[in-house]
Amino acid sequence: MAIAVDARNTGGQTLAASVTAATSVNWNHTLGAALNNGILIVSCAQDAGANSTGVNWDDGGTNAAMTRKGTVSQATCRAEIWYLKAPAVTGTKTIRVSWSGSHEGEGGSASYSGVDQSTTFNAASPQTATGSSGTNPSLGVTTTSGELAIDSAVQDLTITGSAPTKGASQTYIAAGVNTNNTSIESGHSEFPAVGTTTTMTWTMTASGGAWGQVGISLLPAAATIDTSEWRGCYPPLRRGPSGNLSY
Amino acid sequence: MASSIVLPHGTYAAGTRVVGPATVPSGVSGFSLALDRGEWLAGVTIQMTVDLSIDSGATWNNPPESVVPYPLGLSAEGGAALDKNGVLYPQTILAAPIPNSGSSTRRIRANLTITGGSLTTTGTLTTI
Repeated sequence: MAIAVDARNTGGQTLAASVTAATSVNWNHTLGAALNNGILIVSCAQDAGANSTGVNWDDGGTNAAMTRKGTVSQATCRAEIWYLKAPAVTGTKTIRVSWSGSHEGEGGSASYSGVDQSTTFNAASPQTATGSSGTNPSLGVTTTSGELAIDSAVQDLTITGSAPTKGASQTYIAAGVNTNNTSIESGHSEFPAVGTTTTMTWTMTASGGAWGQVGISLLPAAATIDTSEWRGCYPPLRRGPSGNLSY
Repeated sequence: MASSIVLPHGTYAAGTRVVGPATVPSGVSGFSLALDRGEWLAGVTIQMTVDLSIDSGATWNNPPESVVPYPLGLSAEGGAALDKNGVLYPQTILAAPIPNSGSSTRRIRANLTITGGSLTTTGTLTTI
């Protein structure tokens, strides 16, 4: 079963929302009605060495806490990736990222179907990379073909920044510079894995400051085996993922 | 880039109020909404939510694009808060993209909930 995109927020070189001097930021995300083997991903960044205090998926009745899968800090910035498997409620709900004290923060979100609900991540996930001013983020995410790599990269700005540009084969989840454009900028993307390493890169503000990048890889759900073909046969025939029948 | 005062300088009692709506000119692709923090006392908190209409205010937060993140917002607290360089934050700011940049029927409004006391501030909307 292939991993398929349900929705991305924003899906371009913009952020879902960006705040300065706030204790939380929130935006809405719409989950598809038929999200089979689904997962909700929030990729976010802030101007603090400390982690955010939580990310929630609020369905208006149940305020579901998401789980942090990866985090990286460099200088005075941090990038994080959070997830919620099999969200109980579909439709448009609120994502809220919270911090202790006042901060600059930003992010985006994406949802996918076809994700393994028991072994959800590649065993190597999460992986991180950090770098200094004058270099651009690059992270080799350990993958196998069929997985989906996701990354979050943040740069600690010391000058006025501009929106990060993704690597050529990546797809934006969201990206942009904070409303305080001398604080942080961040990029969040996905990349269908094609080999044992999926390298995710960003072009960020030259001389803008140190950066950090965290990446994970989602595993696809196992293909459903159609057993209708082998009734009465012994040994049983099975239909594999390619559609071919075999013993 | 154009800026306008959408919340005149004043002292606003605890409670919820709607700021706007404001027309989003054609060609605009984003906004920032800033609240001055200079007279914002410790213990006073806000929750600000911004709504988007694409049909001149007939409906809100119901654009056809599934990726549009409205409503969106922030929470913030008063008192002296320092940025990463140890400098006082002069403003609390929320920024986001606005879709359908060619449209002339877009409106945005903010729902501001103040708790813990009254808030003295000025609100400025900047379109990008």
